[in-house]
Amino acid sequence: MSEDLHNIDDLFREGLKNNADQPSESVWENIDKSLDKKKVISISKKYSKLKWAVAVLLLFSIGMAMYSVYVSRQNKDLVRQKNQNSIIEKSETSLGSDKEKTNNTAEKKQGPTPKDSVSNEKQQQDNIAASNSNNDSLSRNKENIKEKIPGENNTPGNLIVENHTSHVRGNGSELHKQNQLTVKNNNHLTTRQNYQENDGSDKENLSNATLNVQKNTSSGNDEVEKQIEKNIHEKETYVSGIEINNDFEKYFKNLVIEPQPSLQIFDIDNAELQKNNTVLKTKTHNEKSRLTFPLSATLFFSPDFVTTNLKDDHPRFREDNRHEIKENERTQLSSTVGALVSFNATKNWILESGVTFSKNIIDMDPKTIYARPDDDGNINYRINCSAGYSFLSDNLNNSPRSGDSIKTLSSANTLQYIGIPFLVKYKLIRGKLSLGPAIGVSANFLTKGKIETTLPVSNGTKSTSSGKIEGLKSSYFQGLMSFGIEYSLSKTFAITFTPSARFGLTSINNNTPVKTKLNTYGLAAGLSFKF
Amino acid sequence: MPGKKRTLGCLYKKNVNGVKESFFRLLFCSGKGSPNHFALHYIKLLRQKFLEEIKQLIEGCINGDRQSQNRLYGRLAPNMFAICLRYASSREEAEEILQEGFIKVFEFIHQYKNTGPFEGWVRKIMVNCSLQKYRNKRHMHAVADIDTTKVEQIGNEEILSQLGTKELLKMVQQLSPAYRTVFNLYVFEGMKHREIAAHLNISEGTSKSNLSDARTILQKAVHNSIQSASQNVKEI
Repeated sequence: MSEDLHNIDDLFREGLKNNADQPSESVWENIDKSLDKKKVISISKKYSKLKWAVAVLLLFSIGMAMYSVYVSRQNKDLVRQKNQNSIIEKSETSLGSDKEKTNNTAEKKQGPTPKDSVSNEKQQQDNIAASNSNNDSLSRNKENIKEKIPGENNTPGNLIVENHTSHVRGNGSELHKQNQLTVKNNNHLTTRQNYQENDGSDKENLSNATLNVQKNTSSGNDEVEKQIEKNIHEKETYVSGIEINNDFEKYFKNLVIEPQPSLQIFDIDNAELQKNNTVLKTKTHNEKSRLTFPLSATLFFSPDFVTTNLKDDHPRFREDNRHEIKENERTQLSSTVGALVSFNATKNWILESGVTFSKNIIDMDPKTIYARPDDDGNINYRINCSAGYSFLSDNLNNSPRSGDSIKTLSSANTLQYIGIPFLVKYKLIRGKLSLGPAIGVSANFLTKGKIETTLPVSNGTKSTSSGKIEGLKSSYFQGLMSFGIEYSLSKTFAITFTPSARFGLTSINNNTPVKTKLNTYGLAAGLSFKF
Repeated sequence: MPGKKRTLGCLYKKNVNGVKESFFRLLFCSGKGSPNHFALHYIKLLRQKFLEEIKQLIEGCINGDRQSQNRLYGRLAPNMFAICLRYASSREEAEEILQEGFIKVFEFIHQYKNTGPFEGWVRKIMVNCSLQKYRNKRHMHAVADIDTTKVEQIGNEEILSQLGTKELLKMVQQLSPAYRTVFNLYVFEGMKHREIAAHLNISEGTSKSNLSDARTILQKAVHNSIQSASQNVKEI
């Protein structure tokens, strides 16, 4: 019977050995169409690098556009501030001329010396006190006060308005003129109010003007004189606390353009103005210097902890069990180094990108590997890992048969990737410390995939290395989440600590026994430079 | 000399364009040697010419030249289709395998490393495509009812004179996919049961059992075919 069966083998082998048949023409037509499709796909693959280049260029263009917008906006702010400064200077000049006019008028009436002015004041006090009933001029002044001070609730009653005019400082060349408004009332209460315009919408104060309202019940000349001197002294000390803000021009439009010769509300010292202008210029300079740092670069190193997420893909043989593959592997070393460039899109929002280099080494415990046919039908020992599989080209047995097995002593799988992350970060600044939660994606490109295996031989061990891991994709994507902590050492340097998590969005391999996604958790420490 | 003329005439009939010049140069310039010597040289020349042409076609295919692909297909398709027919249950299925196989050939032709004959490389791809097809259809295993009746032993030459290639092919195609695949791998590809088991992810015992069953079925089919043929002759 056995001979008969072998006879059957020979019968068919000989009978069909030289058989040839022509397939129908539709086969070539279908192949032709399929090749056209493949050609289209291959063209798209061919231009995939070009696509990446276009994407990078696009990102760069967007970044540059945002940078240009940012810079132009900052320039506008600077120009506006400069304009405000010039307006302040003009206002100062015009105010000085107004004061001069006022003083000239006052000098004609009262004389140039302080003593004369004090005596005039006393005289006026006496005259006004003597004619309390005659309130025509006072009521006009009172109305003027109310016009100038809409929020001021002057106490109704017998008001005495005193125009204190000039005060000459004895520094020779520089003449400081001060105007003092004193409103006297019958109540024994002296107050000094820092006038602030509060119209609800404009919160910025107008504290650059000081209104001294004095309510005085005293009618004695000595007391009045003392009070005047006291007011002058207080005024001088108080003016040093004046702050000039952006609404100074508005304030002057409302209050100074039509000066009242007999009533001056503001106590403005030229020296203080100059001082404040200097402060403003200094502030502007600081802001300018701060605004020229929209970019910063960070160099970092991160020890990583890598986990793998395995799913069945195309298991064919018994050694393709994913649980077996996962249990057999241990992460030995994983680290990432890189350089990131941050762009301040707005005050708090930051765009971040750069280049990273990561290296993962996964150890495999001793295991049995089997000889399997490769795509070309050649039989070689095949070693499985989560990244894919590889055939040991440097075989100990020159011609293993399918199903033959050997035991490995140790194996290591090395994967190296270059990554291009893109992050959006929200930065919270608290003094020198800033915190920045960030989210983004990273495209990782394979630079090296290697499996090293140590096998036992008769005279010891032998190591083989395979630089080709079947099924390992050339690129994959990860989602990024991080929380950056930055501490500024100086204006240009800062140290950063960034715990981060990277989750595999796509698998690192395809058409392998298992599909693997890499999840990486790391703590990056780095140094940041501000340009 | 008549023998020499006949041999050369036969060779000349098989001549292809471009080899004529070499042929005549060899014929008139060598001056020595037996007809077999000329025949061997001529066959060598033909083979070299064929290999060169295949090499050029491969280069053209790597560059994506459609004409080269068409010519390569034209040269290899008949033999490859015969292989596919053995693994398939019908002509349509064989054409599907052939189509898939040639698409893979053109897709991965840049991986061919000239380490062996190109035809052998293409043949491996066709066999792999057939096995892939079998794996995809594994759930459709047919259960064969095997008649264990003893069959009379007849010489192969006698059977082949009575049965044509198409009839033998039809017998193979009528086997269940599992039997047919194991039979093909064992008989035509020369694989051992261990290799077959690895390829089909079955045990060696199953492979042996399938081969035995396939042989029995084919033996019976051959016997029945011969019997029916002899009856027809008697009737005539």
